[in-house]
Amino acid sequence: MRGIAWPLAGSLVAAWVAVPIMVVLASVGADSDGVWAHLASTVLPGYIRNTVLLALGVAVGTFVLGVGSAWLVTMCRFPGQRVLWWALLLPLAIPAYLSAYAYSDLLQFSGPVQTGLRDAFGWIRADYWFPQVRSLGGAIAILSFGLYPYVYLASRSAFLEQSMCALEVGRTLGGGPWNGFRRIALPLARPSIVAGLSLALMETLAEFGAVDYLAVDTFATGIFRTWMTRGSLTAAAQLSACLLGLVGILILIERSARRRARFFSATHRHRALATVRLRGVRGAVAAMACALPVVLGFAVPVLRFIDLSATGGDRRAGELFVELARNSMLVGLTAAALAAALALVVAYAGRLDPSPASRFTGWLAGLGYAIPGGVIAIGVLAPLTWLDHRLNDWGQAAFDFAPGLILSGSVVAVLLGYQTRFLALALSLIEAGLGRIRPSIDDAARTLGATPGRLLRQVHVPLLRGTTFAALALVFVEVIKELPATLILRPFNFETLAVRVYQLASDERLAEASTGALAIIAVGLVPVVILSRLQQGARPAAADEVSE
Amino acid sequence: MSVARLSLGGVTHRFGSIAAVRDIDLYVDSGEVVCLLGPSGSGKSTLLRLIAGLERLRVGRIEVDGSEVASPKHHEAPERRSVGFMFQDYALFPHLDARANVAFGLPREPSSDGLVEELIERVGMTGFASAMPHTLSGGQQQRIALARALAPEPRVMLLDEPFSGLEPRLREDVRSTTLALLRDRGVATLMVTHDPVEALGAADRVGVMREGRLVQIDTPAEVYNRSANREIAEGFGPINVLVGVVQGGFALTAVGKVKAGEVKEGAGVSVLVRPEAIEISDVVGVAGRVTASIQEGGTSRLTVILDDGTQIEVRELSIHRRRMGDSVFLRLAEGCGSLLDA
Repeated sequence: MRGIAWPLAGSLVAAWVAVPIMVVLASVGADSDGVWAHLASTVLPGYIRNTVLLALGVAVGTFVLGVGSAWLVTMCRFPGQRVLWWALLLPLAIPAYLSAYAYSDLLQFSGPVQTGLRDAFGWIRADYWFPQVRSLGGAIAILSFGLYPYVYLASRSAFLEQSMCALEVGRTLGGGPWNGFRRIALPLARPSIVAGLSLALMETLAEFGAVDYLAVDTFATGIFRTWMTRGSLTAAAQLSACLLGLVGILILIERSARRRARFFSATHRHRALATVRLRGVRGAVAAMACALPVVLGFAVPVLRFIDLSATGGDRRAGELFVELARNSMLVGLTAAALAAALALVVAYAGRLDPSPASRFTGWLAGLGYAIPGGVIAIGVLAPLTWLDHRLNDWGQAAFDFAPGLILSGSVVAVLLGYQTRFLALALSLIEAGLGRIRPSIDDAARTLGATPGRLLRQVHVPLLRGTTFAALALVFVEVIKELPATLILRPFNFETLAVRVYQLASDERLAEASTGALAIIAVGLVPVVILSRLQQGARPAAADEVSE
Repeated sequence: MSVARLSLGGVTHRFGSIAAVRDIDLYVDSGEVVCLLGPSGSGKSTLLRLIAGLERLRVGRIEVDGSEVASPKHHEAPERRSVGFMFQDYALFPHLDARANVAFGLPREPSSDGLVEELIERVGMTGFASAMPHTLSGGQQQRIALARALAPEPRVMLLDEPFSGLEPRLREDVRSTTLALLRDRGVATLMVTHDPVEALGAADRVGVMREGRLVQIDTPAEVYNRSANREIAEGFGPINVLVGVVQGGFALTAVGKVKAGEVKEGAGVSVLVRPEAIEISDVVGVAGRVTASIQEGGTSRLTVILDDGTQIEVRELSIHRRRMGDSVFLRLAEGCGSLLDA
């Protein structure tokens, strides 16, 4: 009995969060009255092309931005490095749809940039070429600058955990610093980088708000439109299944990349990385290279919203703000704590019993992350509504009392939707954290008389404190930013900051939306700041003192 | 006849289609140190993990003090087996100080405190009780790991190459302290190593493992002098393989005779003879000439070619200072040498 308790709990969690996905998938075989055939012959090739190109573009963009900046700030010292160390996380606070609003507004024909250029040079409309923000390229750029922190965070902590010894061995074997990066540091950090990249790509595949606003037709917008305008849940589910296929492939790639590369610190001699001091031009170039993502991914959109709100903000914001912020914080914190706890159960069950079955459990539990919130919302609503009806029937029959929509019309629905959507985020971090704890630690505790429960409480949880906190913070930020699922699942009259901003932006009342947008960014900043503090503390001692 | 502290019967374990451990029978008595010797991949570590309960046993039976802890139908959880384990990487809990590491396996009550301090003193780490693992040297970590493993007073202790991370001079010292402590407490100790010198020097009995099988288990002197086969013999050091013919119950070789037991008259046999089992003198024995001489500290290893062309390695004390070209006479020492199964 003891032996199966944990794997059983893990499977239950995975099954629970996978229900909405299964509900959506179950409708695939159904007849869509010709809608699917119509879609397949018209828009489907475009969806596939745009989605794949967008994912590839964002993969390259976030890899270059994330790994490059992480390497510079961990290995080098240059002016502004200490600030950039945490500032590079800032774009995490801005949802992609807000960046899309800001850049569309800034760079449109009547926006301040083009107007300024025309005024300065006396051009008129036909005189010049200007990049179109509402394009695939624009979407790739905006998503890359918004999502690179996932890769940055993952690769930075991986670089920090590497011992100088491995790099020095590389040097003695005749490789230069660049070789050391390419042949030692990068391969050693690969499991973490792959984890970070796959998070960024799942975000990309699931992104609805930004690509919708930028008029790039991907699966995510196609699914939404098929359901909203054609009213065909079946065809939407069938499109979702295609997207799910892409996501499944992505997760399998990530898991196999990590399974083939389980690195434990092979040496007991951990010498902290020595940082190289960059001076003069090289220092300035490094500083600018690391500042660019922060400026474009954070400063520019924030400044635009500040400017907009100064000139014409939301007049109702003051009275609503407290309530909206409280709602957002409440669902955010609850969902984050729930996700961290559930992820711990699933990840730990997988560690206790590393079988194909538990790998499948982990895969199942992480499936929801790449699925657009709107689709998940439908998957949540359908079974909960059914359950509500059964409850009412039973209440009516037994007590002559119908409790109403106690599940589908309550925060329970919202929280279930968030777990399905974001459990992967917490799971990915906690699994990677567990993977860094040597298996002999578990064996030692077990032979010293610790039960699996005590091993988790007294060894893993303390060792995973930083990781768990990171998981909490990331899920919290995501929930605050989440839009489509919240829109569909929220109880009547339950508004969050994101819902309010979306409603205003849809009406092209961007100036009014700017106040709420700034509030979301501000709330999103809190965990980012805590996260950066925590990571600073995680930096091995004395690393800052060494210089060459 | 009392029951062995630890006993294994017919233990076999597969990973997929690969049999890591095959049909092992083994016992370890209270206070005894048994060393399993074998190259990596020979199944030693898997065997330890099966005994500790870290792998589930599918075939065979494992008993501690006569009561079953593992069989295909029964799996006692590792935390309930009273089997201690020391790991190659020590596996100290990095978030706990030395004292808390040692106390991990003890019930949380005031009486445990004294025991923890006593153990820390026994392993010579007084003054380091509050140190965090990463501030300790390898040898110090090893000592704390030992104190930690001893704290719950296990009946069986499993050591998975726990000394291999230490520098050679320290290794000797830490090993003898550790094993003395284990013998003293009557713990049945099963230690795994790939170092023949360590196995011969530390164990009461040495078990030789090859490809998952226990091919020989006996006292160090026996496995060294009467190895079951040539490969095992070579694993422990230089060996001569001499040809012989059985006559009158003895195998006759170029340098002397060895008891042939049941082997029939006239049969050709191979005989294993250690270099030091051959006596060298200036007068008695078979004549030969020294063709090479290697100094090995207190002894020197000579290569001698007999007049019939047989080449033989011989070891003697360095004080004789024999050199290349010297004439010598060789004779197999009484009772030495072992017949190789044909």
